[in-house]
Amino acid sequence: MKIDPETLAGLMDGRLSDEERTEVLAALGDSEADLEVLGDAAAALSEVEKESALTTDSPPSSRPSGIAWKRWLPLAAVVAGLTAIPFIRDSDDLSLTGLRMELATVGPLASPLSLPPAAGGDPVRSGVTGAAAESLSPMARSFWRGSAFARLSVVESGSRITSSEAASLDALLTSSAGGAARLAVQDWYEGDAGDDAAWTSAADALAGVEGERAAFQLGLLVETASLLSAEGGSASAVALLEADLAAVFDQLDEGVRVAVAGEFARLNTALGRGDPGSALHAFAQRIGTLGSPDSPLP
Amino acid sequence: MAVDVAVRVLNSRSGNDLDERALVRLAATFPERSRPRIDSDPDAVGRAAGSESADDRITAEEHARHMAAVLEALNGSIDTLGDEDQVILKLRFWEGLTIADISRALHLEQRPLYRRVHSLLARLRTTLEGAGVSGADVGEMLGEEGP
Repeated sequence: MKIDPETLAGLMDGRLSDEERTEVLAALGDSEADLEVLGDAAAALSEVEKESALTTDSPPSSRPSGIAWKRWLPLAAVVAGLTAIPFIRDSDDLSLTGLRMELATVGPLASPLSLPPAAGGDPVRSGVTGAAAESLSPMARSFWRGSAFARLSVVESGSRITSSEAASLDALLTSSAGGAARLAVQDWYEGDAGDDAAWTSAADALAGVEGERAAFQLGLLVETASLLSAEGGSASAVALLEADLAAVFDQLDEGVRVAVAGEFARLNTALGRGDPGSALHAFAQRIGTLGSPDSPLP
Repeated sequence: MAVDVAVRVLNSRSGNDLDERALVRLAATFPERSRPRIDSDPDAVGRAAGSESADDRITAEEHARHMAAVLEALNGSIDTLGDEDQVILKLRFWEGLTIADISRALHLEQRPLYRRVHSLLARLRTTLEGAGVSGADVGEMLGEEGP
């Protein structure tokens, strides 16, 4: 049976009756040519939707700052949720710089994680495909998982995910070879938004995939810091996060504390928010006082 | 040509307000999809014959024959699935579509589709391993990566 374009369009639109759909699916299973057409049409539709989004989105600079609230709330939940993950304090060799350098070497990069730059460079728009992840050390993979999970935690509240976010989720699931971690992430992602227990369970399972919990937490926090700074400027949002992060900060591994404090300081300066009167600056200083004596904060 | 027909499919969709010229222009810019992840690769043995050393040739030929046998087992396993599951897996692995694109193609909810694909893969793995195909071969064929 050769499937005509109108019927394939009906399949994509959900306009076929159950009987018609069953018939078309059976025919598709036997026809590579029709499968290819359907695949091309779906890919084309994806491009059309991207084009449409580009032409209808307002420029970021013209967006009202209040729109960030949709993302702030889950960010705060991410930080608050850290208290529920068991911590390990024996990762003396945890080095943010080393992890960044290692992650910067992998490619091709598939999903956008806004990993911060190594020294003075541009931010690394870095994602790691499942294949590339194989070449990383367990610590770097754990750091990446934490970063990916932070980003997905933020987008999870949205009604629809983008293709790059879907790629992140896909890579996260693929890399979480342990069945328990994979199922925990799926349960969280497919479950109700705001299900703290599911989030904690997923984070805990991911942190434990390779036993590098501190690296996972570092990735989670550094990515959170990046997202926080990238959409900063709202004193209310910073205040919301401040209480949560402060509550967990002194429980963190010392290496994680220093790295996160440094990250906030760097982003605060890099983004031109070094104004001593700014909420973010105050937040960074507060973190600095909670950190170790080696904190890079002034 | 598949893209031409795909453009006609899009034009047939309800509520589509793009004109045909715009769609064709857009089609010309499509990135090439990474397909197929599962490939019987009929030329593999022929390519192996062009390898430099006799040992390389023999190894490559054996590998190609072995993977062809695994592929046959895989196709047999996929054929035991329901029609919709078969189409989902073929779109994923033969056509190289993302989960998001499969959900567009079949008008299915995206999030449950993740679980469904992973469940299907787990089922295939069990079936294949039951048929004597090694876990490593299954992983290679399905493009699964390690931790």
